[in-house]
Amino acid sequence: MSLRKRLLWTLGITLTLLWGVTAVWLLRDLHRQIEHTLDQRLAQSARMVAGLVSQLPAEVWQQAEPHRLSIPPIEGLACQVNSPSGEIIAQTHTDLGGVLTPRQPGHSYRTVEGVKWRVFTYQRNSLTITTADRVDERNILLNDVLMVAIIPFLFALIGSLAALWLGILRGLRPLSRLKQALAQRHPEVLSPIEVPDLPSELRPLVATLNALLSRVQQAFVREQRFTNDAAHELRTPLTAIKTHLQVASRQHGEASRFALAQAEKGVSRLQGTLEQLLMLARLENGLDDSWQANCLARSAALEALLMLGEDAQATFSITWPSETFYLPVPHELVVMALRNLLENARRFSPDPGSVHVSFSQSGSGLTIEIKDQGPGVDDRDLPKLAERFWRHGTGHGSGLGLAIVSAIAERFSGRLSFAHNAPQGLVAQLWFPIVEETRQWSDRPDVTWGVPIAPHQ
Amino acid sequence: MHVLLIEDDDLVASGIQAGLESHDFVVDQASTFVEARMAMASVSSDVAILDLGLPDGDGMGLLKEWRSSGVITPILILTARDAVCDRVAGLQGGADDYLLKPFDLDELVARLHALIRRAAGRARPLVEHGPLCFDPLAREVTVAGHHVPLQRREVTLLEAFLQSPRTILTVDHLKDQLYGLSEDVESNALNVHIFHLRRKLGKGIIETVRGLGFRLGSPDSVELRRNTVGTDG
Repeated sequence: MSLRKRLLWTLGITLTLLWGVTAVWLLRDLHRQIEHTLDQRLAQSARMVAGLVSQLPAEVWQQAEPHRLSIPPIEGLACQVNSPSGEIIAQTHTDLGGVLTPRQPGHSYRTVEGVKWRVFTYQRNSLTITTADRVDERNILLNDVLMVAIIPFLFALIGSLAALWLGILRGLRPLSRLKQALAQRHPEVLSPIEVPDLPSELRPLVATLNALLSRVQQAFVREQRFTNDAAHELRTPLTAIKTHLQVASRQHGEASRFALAQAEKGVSRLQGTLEQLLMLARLENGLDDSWQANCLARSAALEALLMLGEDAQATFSITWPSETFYLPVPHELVVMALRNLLENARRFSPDPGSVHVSFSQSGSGLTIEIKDQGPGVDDRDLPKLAERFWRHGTGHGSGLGLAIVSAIAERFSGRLSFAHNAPQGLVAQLWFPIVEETRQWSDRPDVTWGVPIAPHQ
Repeated sequence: MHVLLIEDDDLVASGIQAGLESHDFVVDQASTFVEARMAMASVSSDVAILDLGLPDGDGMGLLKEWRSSGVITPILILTARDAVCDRVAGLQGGADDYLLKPFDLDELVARLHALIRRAAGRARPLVEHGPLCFDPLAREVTVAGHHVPLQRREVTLLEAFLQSPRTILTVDHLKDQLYGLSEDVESNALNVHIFHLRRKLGKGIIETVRGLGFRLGSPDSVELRRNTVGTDG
């Protein structure tokens, strides 16, 4: 059921019921009051007649007895006076003997010849006065009064229902506009929803929806770009492999061997890219349990340096930390992150001693800073460094190395940031929180350098 | 046939270069936007292969720049971008063909030949000049049905003349066709090749236009030199 229908039904039925109950109550009350008033009038008339008759000298009605006094009739009212002996002394209607025969004092109903009467019998000074009203005449009066009361009532009820209907229709119009705007959209369109003149209640809803849509769109664009880039990165080495293999099959001797060697280079590049893509996917979709361990910053850095090979060592000048720091990150991942950063720095700044690596405690974490003296990047490229498949110039590599470092940092509440180095080059800063009990651990005499130790095992 | 290969990935480029050279193409490689622009301006290529993702700019921009400045060299886009919209954008941006990576070497060669053929206004794959018939794909020359063995460079040179039968080709253009930009050419190497062609196909096959260059001779000038058939090669 639509909101409008529900509102209309609920409010309409409630309003009608309330007004109906009030009306019934009012009418019953009115009916009782009128009845009461008319009964009082009947009694009052009887008393008045009694008063008049008792003031007459006894002879008057004794003489009149055989002739019966006639009382001019009051409209809608019959009256009869009986003497103590039961004789009728006076009456308004001669034909209403049956109705006006005295009974017990007080009010009663009497039906004579199919006509219902309201009768009042009153005794005073041995005289009995009976007055009577036609009930149907009373009802006519009652109906008239009720009609006067009920017509404005009905009018008010219908008016309120109409006002209710109009109000709900108008009040919910922004909602139906929004509904229309949403219904007309293509399901794949991610542009913001635009509905003019929205009430303040709906504005936050639409704003939230639009913000969500724009985020989805951005994610969609990013995803698409990633897919395109991944396709490019995978197809390029594949193309190299295929082409070189085809050349190798057509050539002989040295040329064929050269082509095969080139194809093999392509294979190892493809393998590298695939492994890095898998690593990224694994970082994003949870990790193996075997990785849940802390690592010693210094031993991870040492291992990363060793992995770069002996030739690479000369490039780096390192300021080792004076304290021992444990990072809440698996050892293998810190090694990988540092290796990628060091490899990258060395690629652009290979001279001996030109890359400076330092460790410093900042806040509740450890910052590992790698400063190179390579060409650096432009301001506008600085934020792109950790983007997937972004490469600097014609630089080689898969373009995933720094993206992996960034993913590792993100996964373990760390940070990767870049800045310009003066006078030239790039500064990469990798920050990780440190395990709180680091100081205690450093006091332990059995901690040895170069061996990854997980304190919780 | 001279091919300008614009490809930033050295491994892919070396593969394509080796593959095309095995099909008697002369290949010059440019790996950046800037290099490609310079190469297109300085060497006369019969066809260009363009990779869209260049490190210092988008290949599409280069394509549009060339087309708007009147470069009519046929251009084949060779890319890993496989979306239909990319292909449409490439072809509408002025490319003559679109091939996806990874590709088959034979297909690339066939497409390049088709592009060159269409650029020369020919519909048939074989080039005929009087009794002479040249198959660009098979690299075979026959005169009146007899196979004439020619050296690789000689075929390339003959192909350049057959490609523009009524045009005077300058020495520089012919050198580009034969060696590209990379090789250091001896000054009389071109004359040696022309001498051999004349010896094998008749004196009039190539005319010297004094002070300007060379031109393909009339179809009547093609002769079948009995002494060369099946002996040289």
